[in-house]
Amino acid sequence: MKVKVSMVVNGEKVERVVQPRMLLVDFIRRELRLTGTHVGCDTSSCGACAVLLNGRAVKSCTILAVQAEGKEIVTIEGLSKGGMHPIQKAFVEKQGLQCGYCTPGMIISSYQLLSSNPNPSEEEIRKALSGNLCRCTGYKTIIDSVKYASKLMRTEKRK
Amino acid sequence: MYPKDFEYHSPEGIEEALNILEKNGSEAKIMGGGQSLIPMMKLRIVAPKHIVDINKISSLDFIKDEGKRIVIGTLTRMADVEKYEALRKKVRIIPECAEQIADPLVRNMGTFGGNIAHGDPNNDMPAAVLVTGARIVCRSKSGAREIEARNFFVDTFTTALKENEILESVVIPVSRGYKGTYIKMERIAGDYGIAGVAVWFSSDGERFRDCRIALTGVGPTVIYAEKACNYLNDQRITREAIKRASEVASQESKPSDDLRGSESFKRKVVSLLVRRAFEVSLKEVGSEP
Ligand SMILES: Cc1cc2nc3c(=O)[nH]c(=O)nc-3n(C[C@H](O)[C@H](O)[C@H](O)COP(=O)(O)OP(=O)(O)OC[C@H]3O[C@@H](n4cnc5c(N)ncnc54)[C@H](O)[C@@H]3O)c2cc1C
Repeated sequence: MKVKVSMVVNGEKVERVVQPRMLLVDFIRRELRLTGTHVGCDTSSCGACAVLLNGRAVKSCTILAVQAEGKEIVTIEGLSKGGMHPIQKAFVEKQGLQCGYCTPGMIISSYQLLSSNPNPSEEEIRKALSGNLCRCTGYKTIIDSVKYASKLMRTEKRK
Repeated sequence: MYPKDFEYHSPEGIEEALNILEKNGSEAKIMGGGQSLIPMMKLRIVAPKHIVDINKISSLDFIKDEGKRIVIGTLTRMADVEKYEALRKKVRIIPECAEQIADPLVRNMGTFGGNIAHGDPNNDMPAAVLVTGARIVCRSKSGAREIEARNFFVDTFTTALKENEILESVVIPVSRGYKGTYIKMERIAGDYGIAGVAVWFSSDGERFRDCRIALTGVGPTVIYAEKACNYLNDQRITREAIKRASEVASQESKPSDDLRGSESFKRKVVSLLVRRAFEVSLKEVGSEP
């Protein structure tokens, strides 16, 4: 039995009729055609599907679309609405990616960290990103990117 | 991957939720954070006909500091347990355990009660609540009952919760003068532990009093290491006593070979972690053995 679900995604209200078993990541990718949110492992391990749910980074492959009823979702597309976000700029500048598959999730987790902690230590960055796997970089340049992003955001004062 | 189709309920009050449980019996499953349930549904290990999502019942999402006890509502996210100041001050083993569970993304969704109700021997929080002497509050249509955490965990994925009951909250006593911690050893960041150990004890500066030790991931349920506790009680605080207790605890564990290690390796990990947990806890209060 299908059910109606409505939520705010990247600032816009959306409403669809879906099966309750539809996962939030499929809702975002297939119903809304926002393909920046990736499916990596599909077994709740890799964090490539991370989105913000009411401001908190979560794995959208492990949430039902119906559970987001009435909530606010921000995807990677939402972060870059006013041009590239400073975190994105920092990942480009510091080469925080190779294949790029994990990057949207990395940026979502970094965003949650930097919103509550504008000047994190390396240890805090490592902890905050421990739910996001990268198979290319070895993480070094990702950490550098987040450090640089925190600097950019503090000087640009952009949220 | 998709779960099998189900009927979705999202009651806004606990009464309504209990009615749905009463009506559907074993065909209904409560969903808290879904961080254990959804992966199992995707793999079709379970396929409940009715999902009772309790996330809209805001009265289940709270932490209350009542002085001599702290009550944690089932829906409290692990990420909030981790940061709650009064817990840090009064029963630090709980937030110390919370921050070692899974990864930040999972902790933003996963609930305190879900980690306990799931009955997974690899879940970390059961050992921590057990050693604090917590009580689990379960509610059905006929009212609430409290179960000692020590009697709550029955077998793998089986707890004392009945089909028609909701785990409502957990009552954690604040015991002055007790110390202890939770530590685990993981293969990779964000994983379940190879093993985990909770210790909680009091002392008169010279001797151990009322020691409690519980073990994660090394048996069909969380294990209360009773013999090790009995051995340590009234012993002088020495390295030898701790070492002996860690060996007894290791004998009390019942690990099996799996991807996280062999039985004998896990027994060594248990004994190492018990030792470390006592040493860390004693160091912090300056009474190093
Ligand atoms: C990648 C990953 C890594 C993880 N690592 C760890 C780890 O290291 N340590 C650890 O402890 N856990 C770990 N977990 C599990 C995670 O902590 C889960 O959140 C937790 O086990 C269950 O909490 P939940 O709220 O998500 O429960 P759910 O998945 O919603 O429910 C789990 C079970 O409990 C029942 N239930 C939930 N709430 C209630 C209630 N109020 N009353 C009655 N029954 C209820 C459900 O019916 C279900 O059977 C991990 C999960 C993932 C995806």
